[in-house]
Amino acid sequence: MTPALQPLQGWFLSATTHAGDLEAGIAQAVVRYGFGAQAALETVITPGPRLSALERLSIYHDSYRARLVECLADDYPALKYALGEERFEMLAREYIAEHPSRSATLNAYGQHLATFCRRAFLENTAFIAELARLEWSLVEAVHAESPKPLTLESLEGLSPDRFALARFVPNAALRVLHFEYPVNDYYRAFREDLAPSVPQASACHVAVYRRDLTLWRRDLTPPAARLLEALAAGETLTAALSQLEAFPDVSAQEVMSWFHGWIADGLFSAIVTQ
Amino acid sequence: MKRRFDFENLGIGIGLRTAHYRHILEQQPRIDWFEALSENFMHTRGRPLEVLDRIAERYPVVLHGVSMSIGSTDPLDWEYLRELKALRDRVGARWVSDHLCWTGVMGQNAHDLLPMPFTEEALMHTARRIRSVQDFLGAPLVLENPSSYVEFAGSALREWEFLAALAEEADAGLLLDVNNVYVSAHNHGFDPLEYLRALPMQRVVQFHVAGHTNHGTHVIDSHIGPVPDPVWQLLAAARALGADAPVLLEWDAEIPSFEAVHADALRARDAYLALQAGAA
Repeated sequence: MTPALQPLQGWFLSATTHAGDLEAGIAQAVVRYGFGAQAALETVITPGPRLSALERLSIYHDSYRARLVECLADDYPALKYALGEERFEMLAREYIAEHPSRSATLNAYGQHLATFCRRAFLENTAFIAELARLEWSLVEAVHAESPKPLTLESLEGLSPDRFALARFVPNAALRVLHFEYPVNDYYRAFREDLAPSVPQASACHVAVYRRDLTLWRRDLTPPAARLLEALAAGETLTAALSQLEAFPDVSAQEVMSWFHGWIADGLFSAIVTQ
Repeated sequence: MKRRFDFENLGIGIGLRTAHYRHILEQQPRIDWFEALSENFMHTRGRPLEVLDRIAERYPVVLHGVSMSIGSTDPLDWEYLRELKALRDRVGARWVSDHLCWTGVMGQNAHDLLPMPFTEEALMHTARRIRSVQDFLGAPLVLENPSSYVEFAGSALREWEFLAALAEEADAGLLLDVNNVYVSAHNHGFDPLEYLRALPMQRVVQFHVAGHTNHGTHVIDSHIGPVPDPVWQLLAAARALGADAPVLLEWDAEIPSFEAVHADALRARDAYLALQAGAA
């Protein structure tokens, strides 16, 4: 008897997306749908001119994982390098099993991988998870809206009082990240084909953002990171600057220099003075 | 042969790929049109859309999807369709295409062009959904024949019979991928010319050509390398059968320079010229 369309599609998906091998997938599909056991596979899938029904079905089973592994590798090239091809693929397969896609696009498919890395049984877990977080923030910056940036000229004419109480609207693509490992240096070395090794812990702070079509990663000193994070969180300029009380060596000139750089880099899209 | 739809013949285009964004924006190469993969520009508000906006200002653009899942037994994804329609209107896409396939069920997306059983039930089900989508889009949906690696024992029709009947029943356009015809013909052991002869060529709105990978026992639609001669020959055969449509080259693996892809696409002109010379 020919199965109806709905159970046939359920059977097919169940068999070909199973985390184990195809035989296990077919067994699971039989339990769920009550037909299509491996011994009777030809009642569902016909053999081809050169391949058996099982071999034909395995093309879909193999390509399912390969496609999603490739998607993760595209978004996490440095992570793949750090883990090595084999360990990356193992991690990706575990991730795929836990996170089947329920979206029409793959743009956000890898969004949980940094969290997943923290839970995975990996060597250098903390570093690996931080590297994943940096790489995902780059993906987020690609897909975030990037409105016209605020310019220094637009700030001219603001009275000191209004300026002190102003809040800055961050560019949606901006991320201020804090790491225990020097992941930005590692990422840079990876991009420059310098074959970096897993580094020792050493804190770093990074602003990730997009300007026009280009992604940027800007290293920040601890006080600059604190200030930028406070501004990006919507604190008034005065409140944000108060964060610098913990850094008495920072000069006003230094702060002005950061601020000019951030405006020039388009990190803010508007100023709210009310 | 009178064409069923009024879509213009855009000429020879290539699939828009991330690797070529910078070259296209900076060099503004002379090319007839681009086909953009719809989902690459959906669920995003950032760079992909900015790039497509700029390209659409200069070149005709067509949207080609992989996740409409028109043959699925899941309900139509109206959120997806709304976003697709908005994207079409935003970039002025000349038409919207997707595949005769399903990509998932029960909410899960395999992100693959999964094969349909060619049954009367599937035909009526898919035709109904195509009509709903066309009503929503206010335009014909253009459906591509995918490559496939299995056939279902319960199929009562051959793929070409199913596709021809579906296009007529739903009044849909066809995106005839002659590489996929070649791939499926090899994998299932049918005559690709029999496939072409069965199709209503007046419904063909667009062609796809691409490379593939022959594994001996089967051929995979890998979109790698230059388009092989047998695929060009199928394009010429379809043209000889009366299909008058623009040609789009897809290259998705080990993507070379833009110029190399474009040069291969321009071989479509040679295929047409050879055909005209033969006819003369």
